Amino acid sequence: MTSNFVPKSLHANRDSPLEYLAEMSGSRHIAVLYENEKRAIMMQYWYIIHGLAKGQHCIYTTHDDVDKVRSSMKVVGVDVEYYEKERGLLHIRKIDSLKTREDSGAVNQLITTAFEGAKPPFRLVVRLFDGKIKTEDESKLCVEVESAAQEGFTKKAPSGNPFTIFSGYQGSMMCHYPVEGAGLDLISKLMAAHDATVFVPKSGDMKLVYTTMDGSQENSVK
Amino acid sequence: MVRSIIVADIAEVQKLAESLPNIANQLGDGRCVPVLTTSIQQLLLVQNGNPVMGYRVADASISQEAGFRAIENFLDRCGNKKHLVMLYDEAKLARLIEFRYVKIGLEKREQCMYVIPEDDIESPESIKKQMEEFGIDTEHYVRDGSLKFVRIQDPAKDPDGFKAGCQKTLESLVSEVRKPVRMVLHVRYQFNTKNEIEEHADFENVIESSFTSFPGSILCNHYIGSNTQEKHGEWTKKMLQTHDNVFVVSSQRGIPFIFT
Repeated sequence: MTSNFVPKSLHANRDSPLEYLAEMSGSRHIAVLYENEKRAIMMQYWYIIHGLAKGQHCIYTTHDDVDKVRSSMKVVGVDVEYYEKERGLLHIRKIDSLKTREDSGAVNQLITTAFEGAKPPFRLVVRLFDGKIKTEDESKLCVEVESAAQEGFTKKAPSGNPFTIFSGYQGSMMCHYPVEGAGLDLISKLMAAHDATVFVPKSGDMKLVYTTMDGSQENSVK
Repeated sequence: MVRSIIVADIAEVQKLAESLPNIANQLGDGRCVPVLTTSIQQLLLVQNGNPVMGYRVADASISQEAGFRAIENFLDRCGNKKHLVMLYDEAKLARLIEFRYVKIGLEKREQCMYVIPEDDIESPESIKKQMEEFGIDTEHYVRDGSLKFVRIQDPAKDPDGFKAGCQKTLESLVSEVRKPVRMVLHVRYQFNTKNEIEEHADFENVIESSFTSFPGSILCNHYIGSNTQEKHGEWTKKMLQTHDNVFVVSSQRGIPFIFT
């Protein structure tokens, strides 16, 4: 899984990340790169709760126990039972984590079982890798997978790429990665492999950066 | 006007009001307060007194009714230990919301205290009559001590000043209550002088900062029909910062002063 997707520039956007995620429409592949996990989780819930309020099917994937996610959502006032049972809009799914290039189980789970019972338009929160990306090999694999997914989103995926499923995908997908201490190379490649990136620092302002192909806008962040 | 997110139906407004402030508060940047309104947007998320997001149902022709229902639904699920405020210029609708708040409390066997100031256009008798029309058996609840009507003196007459007058009044009321209490509090019908406006805002801040020791919940009520941007703009903003939840019951299309 390799990608030729290289953006010409990355643009800081005037919109707030919260507005952007609340209004999200169309097919978008977005990244949340964070230094503060608690804030990142709240960002994911913010994205999910706005989808639910619009009547969209929202899929939240985890490598952990799904009941832990349910409890965590309930603590902040999300009516999990209402959205899972009464409305059938919230789908909390456990998926395996991706460990090696040969390990296709997690990707297959994502593109098959995670969507069971859900209808478009979707909002999907996902991370295929568990924990922090530590080694260069993990870093490469992560960028390959995200780039392949982005090729799916941009309808440029070659046949055989499992992410061709996203070429007809109706909805958005939020990927999230801890990046504290990560190199700029990994961060810029992850940004390049998404339509937009939200940075969640330990504290202070969150930033939204669009990835574009034309290089024509101002305020580029290089 | 902040951007509007169109939600599937009015039930979603209530769900958002219950979850969004908690989520937003953990994202940082200051306390977020949900404002439920009868205006075009049925829910506003306010941060540091400024609106950051708006939510509405698609059909604008039912916005007032939808907003009113959202407030009712919110009250039905709202627990005790809440410091609420209602800003209104639609007195009839405001009374219905107060009475629903009282009725829910009485049904939960909480004591309900309706506090009315001496300058108010309503009296305990007129309120009692309206409550009966609403369906509350006032005679029964007054007899068993669950429902109390209290007329308070003008805090401006306190020799120690308006804020001190407000504080003394509240302390006196709290000393009389049975726990847990639900208090519908009208401290003054209108604030007229700059000093009254500023001191009242300070008083609300004092209540909020010491609210953990209050033996129940309070619904503060303020008639804003004669308020002006010049005199009351800052006060309105402070009301949005010093309460857990805000209800705005207005006949105007926007929300007076800050949200128009």
